[in-house]
Amino acid sequence: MTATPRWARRVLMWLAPDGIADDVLGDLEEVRRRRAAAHGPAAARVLTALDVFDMTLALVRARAGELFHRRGSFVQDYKLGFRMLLKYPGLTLAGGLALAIAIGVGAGWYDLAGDLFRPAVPLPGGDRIVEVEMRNSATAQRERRLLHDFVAWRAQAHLIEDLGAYRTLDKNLVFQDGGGVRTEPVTVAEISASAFRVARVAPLLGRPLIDADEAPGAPPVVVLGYTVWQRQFGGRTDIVGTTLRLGSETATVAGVMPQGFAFPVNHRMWVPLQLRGSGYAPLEGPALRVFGRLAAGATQEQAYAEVTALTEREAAASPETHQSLRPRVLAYGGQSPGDRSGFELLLTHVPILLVLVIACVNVGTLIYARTATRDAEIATRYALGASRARIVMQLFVEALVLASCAAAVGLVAANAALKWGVNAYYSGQDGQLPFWINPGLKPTTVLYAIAMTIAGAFILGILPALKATGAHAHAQLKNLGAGGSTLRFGWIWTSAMIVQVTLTVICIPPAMGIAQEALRDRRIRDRFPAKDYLAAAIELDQKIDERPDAFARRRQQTYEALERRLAQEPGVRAITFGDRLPGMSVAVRRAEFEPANGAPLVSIGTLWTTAVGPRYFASFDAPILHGRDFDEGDRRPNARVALVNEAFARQYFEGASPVGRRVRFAAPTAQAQPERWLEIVGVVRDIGMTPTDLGEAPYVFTAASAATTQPLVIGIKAAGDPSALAPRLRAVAAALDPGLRLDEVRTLDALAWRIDVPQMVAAGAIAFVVALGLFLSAAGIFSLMSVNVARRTREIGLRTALGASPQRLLLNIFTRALILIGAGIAAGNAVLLLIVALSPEIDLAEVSGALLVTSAVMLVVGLLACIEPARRALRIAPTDALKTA
Amino acid sequence: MPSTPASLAEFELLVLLAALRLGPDEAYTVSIADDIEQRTGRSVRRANVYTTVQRLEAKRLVTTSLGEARPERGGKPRRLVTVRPAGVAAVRATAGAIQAMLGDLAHVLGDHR
Repeated sequence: MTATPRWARRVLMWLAPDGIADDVLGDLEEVRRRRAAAHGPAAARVLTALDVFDMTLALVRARAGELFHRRGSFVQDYKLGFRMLLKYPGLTLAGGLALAIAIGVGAGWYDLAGDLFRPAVPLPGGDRIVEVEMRNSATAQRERRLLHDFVAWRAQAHLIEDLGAYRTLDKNLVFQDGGGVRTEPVTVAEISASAFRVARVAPLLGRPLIDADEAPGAPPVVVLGYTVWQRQFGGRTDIVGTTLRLGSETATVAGVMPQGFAFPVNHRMWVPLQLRGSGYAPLEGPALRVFGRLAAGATQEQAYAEVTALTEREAAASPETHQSLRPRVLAYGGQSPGDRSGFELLLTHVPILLVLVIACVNVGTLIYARTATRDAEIATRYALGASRARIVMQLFVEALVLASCAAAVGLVAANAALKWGVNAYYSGQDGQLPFWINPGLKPTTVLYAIAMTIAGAFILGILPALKATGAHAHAQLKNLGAGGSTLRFGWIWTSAMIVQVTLTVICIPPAMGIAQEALRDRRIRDRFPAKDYLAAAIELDQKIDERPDAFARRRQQTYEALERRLAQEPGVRAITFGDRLPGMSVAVRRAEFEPANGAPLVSIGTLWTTAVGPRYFASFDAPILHGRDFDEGDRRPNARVALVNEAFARQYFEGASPVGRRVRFAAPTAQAQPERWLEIVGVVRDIGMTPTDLGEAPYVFTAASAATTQPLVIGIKAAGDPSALAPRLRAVAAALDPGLRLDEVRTLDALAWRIDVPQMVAAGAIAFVVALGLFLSAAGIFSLMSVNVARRTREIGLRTALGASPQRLLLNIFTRALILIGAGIAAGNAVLLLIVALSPEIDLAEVSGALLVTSAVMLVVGLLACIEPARRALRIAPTDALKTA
Repeated sequence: MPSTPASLAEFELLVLLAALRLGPDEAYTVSIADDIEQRTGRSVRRANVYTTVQRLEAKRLVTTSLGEARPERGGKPRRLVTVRPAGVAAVRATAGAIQAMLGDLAHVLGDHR
């Protein structure tokens, strides 16, 4: 009996090339005994262990070389894998798409999770840069009027160095272009000189901003970004020292920053933030953001404690402004401090694995069925001497080819979707993509996707392969020539298919709802002549020391002048403004209203609201149905009146006129006071650009003044093509005031379409996933039935020969498919009913129709999948079946 | 036209020489490794002997066959190595080439025998 340790025997049996494992073990035992006789058993044990280790290394090296020599057979496997893709196009299409979605979604989420949880600011020591912000605990809003606090923090805080502040200005850059003068809007940071010390990036030409530039009365200078330098100034190397015009001001170019530099967010030019030496009153001045770098050895928590202490001191001195203000010290870019938490890891990887496993189980049933149809081929290869490992490897490579093609498609789609989604998100926020976010898949994400692909191929290829090459293969060898397959769908694959049918059933009603909603919204919006209107957001440069009332007056006068000049342009039929125009992104708030005098107040969870300028309703052909329009008195700060639309009257007053009743917006937090009551003075016809389930959304309109409305969006109704007015609008604005900026100059239908596109894309994507789910379910049922028929060929032949009727035969064979479809539909409906029961806002009567449709669709798809296997079963000739028996 | 004898790597030559010396009844992995160790004084990995014998077999220079099960080997048989005529020709050709190359270097290397 051998005394070589069992572990050593196992290792060597596994590693030794085929046929010599016994020799290796025999040699090991012989040498061990010789050593035991010469040196004693203990020494022999140690020497044997060393021997095994040494032999393991050599054998591993030999195996690696062997693998290298076998590359020819791998190439064959890959070729076969590609041939299989073409031979089974249904499986390739359905399985490939399912895997592409799983890998694409997984890769996209992994990439996004990296940006969300662990954004890296690509600056030297970027993890030490912090942002200091203030929140108002009473309103739950950020307080950005921080000039007073910034000056105090900069003088007294020691744990944050080079504390600086900035505000973003969109300015008109005036420059020479081919002999003419051109104006282009650029994003400018009015920023403390310390920003360049915080960023630790040297300029490409000239110098950055320096502290002397911040002194009041210092000559105005500007630092250019690389893109502006190249695009607007042709990369002139003598640019430093020249002057340029920014809005209504002239500044000398001090330097040029290198390519890619966009600190603090995505800025293209930098001008000094000049503060007056006499200081500022609390909450005086415009909105600012404050940043700095943690001092050596200081932690974020210590810096937070220091800023909190300073703010508390300020709250004691100025309770009326600072009582509710709470500072926060955040890592720049929102990066959370400390190590990656387990929760982050869970949130990053679990959804990915879930999606991948669901897709693999779906596609796995199809691959398993394909393997079943190749039963005889696998058994024959076995008989001809192929090892199990060889056959498993071949099936794995086939699955890898499918998964790799799917991964390529998924990654390309994920990359495009991520770029589009991230850009759309940031353009919806404030139009700025931060410099630390680079939309598109990162190299690490691609590596992650490769790992997902291999893992997916492992599940898809190895599991069916192990099943097909196990003890079953020997049974199939005996069965060779007798016809039929011996591979069967066990309970695991059957359960997987039931789960798949269930998931598909669950997804159908929401997909139907979303698609219907998207189509309905588009249909309703198409009725409004949005293509007749030109829209543009308007803003005026404000100096940091300009008093708010003086700026508001200047803003009002500038807008009125602009409107007067535009009215003289040919083709202009009406001009108005609001904080948004019909069809643009909406603003919703919670509110409450008085249904009648003395009656209890009624709360409204979602009320749409717009602040509108003069002639707004007339410009959009929405007449006043009851009461009156706003007049000039309603635009004063102390006016408290509102108009509502028909939808509001319909939903909350059963169609009666609400004129004379009052409505007010809810306070943002429980601690804050509710806003003041607004008296409803008129009802206006629905414009029809905000469709909801109950028709047009209920609106409350307030009167807007050009002095204060933020943002100020102008709407121009044109007689012809409104986009032809865009160049005139720009020219008139530039001539009126170089500091007057126009953003998003587009036709209203283009803006509305931009709102609709994400909804349409989402609806399309969900419909596609559901269609794919239906297709996969059908393909799974088809596979199950095909395998079932193949397995029972002889039995069917015998039954036919003995006179069984076709109906009875089909019922006998297809009972399993019917049970599977029925179980899936029942489980899906049960889950949907549970959701309905748990959601009081969903009416059972409303969804019962959808449940019936869903069940019918699934049943029809399932039965359609059975047609071809049924045809195959009925075509089995009894004589042929008996011959092979 | 007679075929050219196969060229041999150094360790392949050593394995073939040991197998020739031990003969078809005694040449197997352990004895070949021992023989090379004793004669050359260098340590030999048995795993290298296995892979070399497999390579020589693939080149059709040796054949292997299983002997009888032996108790001192835990009941496992020995895989005995027999050098084929092509193997002998390869040894002869390689040894001849070495001799030819060493011939006029005696004044540099001294007596190498």
